[in-house]
Amino acid sequence: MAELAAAIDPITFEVISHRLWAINEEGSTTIVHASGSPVVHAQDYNFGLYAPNGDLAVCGVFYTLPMFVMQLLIKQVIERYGDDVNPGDVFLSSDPFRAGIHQSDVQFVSPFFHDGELVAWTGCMAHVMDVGGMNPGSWCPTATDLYQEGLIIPLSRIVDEGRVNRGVWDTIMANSRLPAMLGNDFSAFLSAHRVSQARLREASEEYGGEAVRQTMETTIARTAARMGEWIEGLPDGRFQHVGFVDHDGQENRLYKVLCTMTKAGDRIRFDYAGTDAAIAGMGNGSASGSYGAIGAIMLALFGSDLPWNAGLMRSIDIDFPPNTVVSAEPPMPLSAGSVAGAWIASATAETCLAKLLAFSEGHQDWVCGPPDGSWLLSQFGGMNQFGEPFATMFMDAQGWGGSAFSFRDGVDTGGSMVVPVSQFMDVELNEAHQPVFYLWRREATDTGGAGRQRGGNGIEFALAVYDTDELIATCGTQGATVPTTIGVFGGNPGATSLYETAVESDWRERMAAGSSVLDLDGAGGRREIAEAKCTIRLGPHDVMNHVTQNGGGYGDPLERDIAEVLRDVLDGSVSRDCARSLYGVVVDGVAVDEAATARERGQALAARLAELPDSGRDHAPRELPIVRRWADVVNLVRDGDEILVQAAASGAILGPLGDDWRAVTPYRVVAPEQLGAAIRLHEQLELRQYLDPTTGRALWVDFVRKGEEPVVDFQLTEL
Amino acid sequence: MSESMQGDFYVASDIGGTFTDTVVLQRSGAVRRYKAPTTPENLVDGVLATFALAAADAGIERDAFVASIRRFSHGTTVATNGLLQRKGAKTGVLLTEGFGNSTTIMRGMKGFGLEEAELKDWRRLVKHRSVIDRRLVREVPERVDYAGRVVRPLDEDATRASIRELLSEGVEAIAVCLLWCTEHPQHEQRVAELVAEEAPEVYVSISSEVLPRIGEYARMVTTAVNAFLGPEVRRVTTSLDATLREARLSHQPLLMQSNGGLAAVDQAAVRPVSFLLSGPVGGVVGSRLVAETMGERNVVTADMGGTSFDVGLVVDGRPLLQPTTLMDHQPIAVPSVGIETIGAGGGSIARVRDGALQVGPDSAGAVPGPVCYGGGGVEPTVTDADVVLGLINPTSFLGGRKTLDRDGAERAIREHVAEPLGLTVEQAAEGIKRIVDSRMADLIRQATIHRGHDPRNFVLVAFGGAGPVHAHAFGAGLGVKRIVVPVTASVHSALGIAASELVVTHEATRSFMTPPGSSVASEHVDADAVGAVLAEVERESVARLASQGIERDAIRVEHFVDMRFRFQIHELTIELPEHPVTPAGLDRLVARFIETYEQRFGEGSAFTEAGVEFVNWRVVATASTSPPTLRPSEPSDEPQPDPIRHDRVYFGGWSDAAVYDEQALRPGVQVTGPAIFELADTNIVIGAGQSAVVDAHGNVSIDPTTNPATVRQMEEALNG
Repeated sequence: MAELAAAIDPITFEVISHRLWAINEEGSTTIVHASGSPVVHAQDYNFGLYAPNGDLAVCGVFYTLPMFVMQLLIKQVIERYGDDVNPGDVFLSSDPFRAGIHQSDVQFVSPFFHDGELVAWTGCMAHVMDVGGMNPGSWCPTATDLYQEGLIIPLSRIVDEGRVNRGVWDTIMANSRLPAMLGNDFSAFLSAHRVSQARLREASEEYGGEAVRQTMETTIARTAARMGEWIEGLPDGRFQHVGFVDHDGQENRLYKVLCTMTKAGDRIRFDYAGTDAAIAGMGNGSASGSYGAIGAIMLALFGSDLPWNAGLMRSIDIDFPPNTVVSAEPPMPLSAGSVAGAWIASATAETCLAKLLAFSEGHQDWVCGPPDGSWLLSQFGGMNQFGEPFATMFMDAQGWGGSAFSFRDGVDTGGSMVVPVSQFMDVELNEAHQPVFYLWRREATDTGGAGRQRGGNGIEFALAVYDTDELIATCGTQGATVPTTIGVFGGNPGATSLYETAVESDWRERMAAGSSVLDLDGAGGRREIAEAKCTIRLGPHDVMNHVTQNGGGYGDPLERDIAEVLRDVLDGSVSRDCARSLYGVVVDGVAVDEAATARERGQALAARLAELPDSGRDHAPRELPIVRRWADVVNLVRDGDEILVQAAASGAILGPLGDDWRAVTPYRVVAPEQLGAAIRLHEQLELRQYLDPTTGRALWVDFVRKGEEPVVDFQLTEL
Repeated sequence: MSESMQGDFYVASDIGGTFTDTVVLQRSGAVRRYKAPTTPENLVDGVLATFALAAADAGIERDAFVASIRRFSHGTTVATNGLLQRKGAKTGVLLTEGFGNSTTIMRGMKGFGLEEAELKDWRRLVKHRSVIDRRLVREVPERVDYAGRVVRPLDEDATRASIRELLSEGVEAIAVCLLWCTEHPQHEQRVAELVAEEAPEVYVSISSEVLPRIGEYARMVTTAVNAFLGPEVRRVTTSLDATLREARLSHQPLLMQSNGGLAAVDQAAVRPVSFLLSGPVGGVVGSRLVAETMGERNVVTADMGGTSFDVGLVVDGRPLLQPTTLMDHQPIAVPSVGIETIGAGGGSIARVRDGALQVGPDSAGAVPGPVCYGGGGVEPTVTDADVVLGLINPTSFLGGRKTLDRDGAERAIREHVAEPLGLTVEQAAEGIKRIVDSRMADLIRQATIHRGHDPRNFVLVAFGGAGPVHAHAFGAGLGVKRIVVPVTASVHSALGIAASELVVTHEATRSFMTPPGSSVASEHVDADAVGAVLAEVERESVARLASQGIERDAIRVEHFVDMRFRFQIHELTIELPEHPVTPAGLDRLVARFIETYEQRFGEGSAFTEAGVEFVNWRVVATASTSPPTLRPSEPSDEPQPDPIRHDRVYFGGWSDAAVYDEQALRPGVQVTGPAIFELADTNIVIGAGQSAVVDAHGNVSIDPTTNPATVRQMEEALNG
């Protein structure tokens, strides 16, 4: 690797780096302790240090989507205010159309000066509880334009050389239903800046502001150089993935997000041309929010081995066409800008990267399907059991299951990528403060995508209205009918998300009489599946159950180690039925029936093959020189001048590569329940399982809009 | 020593890793210390070996020595090791129906107790393995609500069936943790009775007894760990008690608890989870003792060993307690002396990565150990750097018991650090030391300034194998008043244990709230109701001390409450300014909370509009057993001691350091750095330009002011 000539000696560099991390932690801790918001306590916030030019230098481990958005914001402050940036200034913004995510994610950035020189910026943000709009909590599922939603705070100087701008402050508070809570969050942000800048001052006095600045710039430059080298080492080519936002708050329509990733030399470009126009409803992301979502991938995937800073994004270019689902413009609604289109932008970009990395022998452990498909909003408001008005967001849905990797299963009940270090409250804490009663909170069996490595199971929790007459629940999710979190290399998708209610349930009487109420069937009343985006009034006898969307599997589930399937069954993570239907493993008591399992697996493969049309091609295995391996499912092999697609395990030749490996790879259309017990599918979509026509081995599973051509997963520049 | 053979010894042992340290404290305040190898198979053997040494020292038979012990107390890692090595009982867990997965859900957390690099390694970031085997969890049909109302009665038949299932699985212990048992413990109590009926020999822990605190996840982990450790801790402590009685000990031994106080050893069988920090806490208490002799009531304690660096705080003469501690990446919700840890010690490995030098958290540990130990270590460590810098003399370290391989250390640093970075070996070694020292200083900063404690009001007491070597550096620049290395550094924990008092901490969750917008708490919270809760907790605490033979009027009681602003989650522990509770006292308590809050999070940060909530009420009951205090030495007329030799040391450049032996630790002795006190088990290093003085107790007290020229000189050297 090319050594960078650093301006700072390596020892002082390390000493200051560690100090900056301690400062960053203190900034984070200050927000979380001083904030009154339950959302902040569930890590829907973050804190970072930025270089004088606005580049991210030190990054907290909580909600990572905003970290590169704040970088954009600081650069806009510099552009807008120029020399008029002074010690003691704090700027804020929640403007998603310039450098923001959605109205509720308020960002505060502040320059840090030492001896008259700009040394760094501190930046923090959190999702605040209410900034106005038509729904308490400022999530507006039925809004059809921006002006029905919460207040947008354009870039403003909220503190001018140490003096709070009361006009700006009061204007914002006047637009909130919960001004006290919002004011407390703002105070927490200001405390975090004050505290972290006091520490930066001490460090600058000890080492000099110049050394602090050089440490940040050096770490960014090193990371950028290493990223460039890593990318350079990957094959050039073009990669695609498609995803959909489902439901727009009015109807369950589909909105396409198409990501085309081009890798050339030491650069990667994501292009969203072909993405549907912005929605006149809930589901959009803004360009800056989507940019931040892609940044979150870089922190997680590449940042596992590199420091988290702006260097991770230096090799990345992103093109958003104007006014699409991932780059909405006024007056399109944007109250779900933090989780809707932006997450599909992220999921498709992540999958493009997986398709690329799978060609590199050294990066097989980096390959996974999209970890974050949807946020299952659980926003409740009304009167609490103490007769006080309240609004809260239950963060239990952060327990969604993570995607599987080639070397490990996805994390059960807590596999988020976008909030790497997430957590949610104890049931007792939520019940103590909110008028709800949990009927259950548990790992949802069979909800992770099946695979050779299994996707993580998600969480399921049922809230009954308790000690109050009525609650308003705001539902906002996607992926209720789109298995966004697909599996990779033959793995199945994870479950889709679900809101379900029992209306006029008599669960209380049942429990008082000594009956178990363990699912909605047992809760009585009327069962209803709630719309993915809606507002519901819940009466005193109503129950709402939530099930998250979860990560997909890696590899064909029929190849999963039998002992691991048995472990999952005995642990309660996989049901006996799914062990048999998805994994072909027959569990008898506490052991596997090996003979029956061998039969079952053989039959499952045969059944797949029976559904394949006859391609008329000769698939006989051939030994040909391998030009590229794509994970362990497909080889690109050379036959004279021609590149052929070969199934890696059997050696079967599928056909000439041409422009698209899928064109020569046979598939069968599968019903969602064939791939997972809790997958629901939009009527316009179909699920395809691409197979080795000689063995039935699953090579890839994906969804395709009926009547549309699938994406071209890869086109390598040189073969 | 024959002067006081009459049952007047306070004896304490710290049964640690390699050695069992024992101190004998005489009524007169004189201290003697003994060491013997720890005997893992039967810990008491190591203790008896030190007793034999003490007896020989006194010229009497061992049994005569033991019989003359007035009080024997000890600290042990038996519970800690059981948890870390997962050696414990096969434990069944009973949880409320519908919530049986709570132990694997872990509130979604993957990050408990991880350092930066681990937190950011997302591809490999998975949940830590719980001590609870999910297949041994059974759900109990029952449910209570937040107000303590029974929503679903306990189904005893189904519970009995689950207990039988667990028994057929061969469980040796059962933990019970039901939702809202803090408000309604009867269901848990009944389940415990059912277990006793089905299997009287099975060890049972119920969460409403182990930890009656709101927040089911930490409560269930704590209760399960208690059950998991129970049978083994009971076996070990019972056997230790019996053996010592056979050896003619006149009383039940005492054992150090995580809360910084002692308890009769039979308590460990009931509440083993309260003894998880039994070992390290002794160091904090020992530091308090040392500081007390100097008239200092605020102490930062710094224990640097081979693999980790532990920091604790003593504030206003009392070790700072925290309600919950992470152990093995799991929350242990027992009030414990707060100890913060990072992976930094003598064995921490130095590596160059991407042009940067990183030190720790990986450690060479005891095996292979630092390169200079010659145990097969290849990568350079902090100790190797210390040897290269001359701070540790390879031939005389540890009294010459072990010759160190200086060439090996130098070679490793040259190959792995100096050459890749283009530095000289000395610069590289000094770089390693500077990085580890600054990481430790950062931790101290996080434990003090970041928590609202001004280090200028504190003294730093450093101990542990490597602490005295490095304290001059990590203690400088923090702004502390003095850096103190106690002469008893090597048996520091044992000393603390010897001088401790019996303590019981007990608590109850009982929520009292004021409405949003209110300002006078006493208008909304009934002081009598608060008083009743505290009285109940106090009664239980006092009863627990009484059961250990303490008279009521020898018991001192302090009252605390965990408080927060409404809608917040995090709490601050506040001591009640007065007791019994009056309406005006409640308002003063709230004022104290707000003041503490703003001290911690900055002026104007208090969320007063929200109202406040009182959550957990805690009582700390202390028995004043008045153990002896340390006796100062007589002022000495002897002249300033002569160095035993001069060693070449590197502080930004080579210079000569005066080296003294333990004989030089006489009151009033003053030295100027660079200087080294070479003791039998560690070296006390005085940095270049620093001055140090030996106090009346033989402690070395370093003036933390560094000579700034040294640092600048080094930086200039590095930058060429």
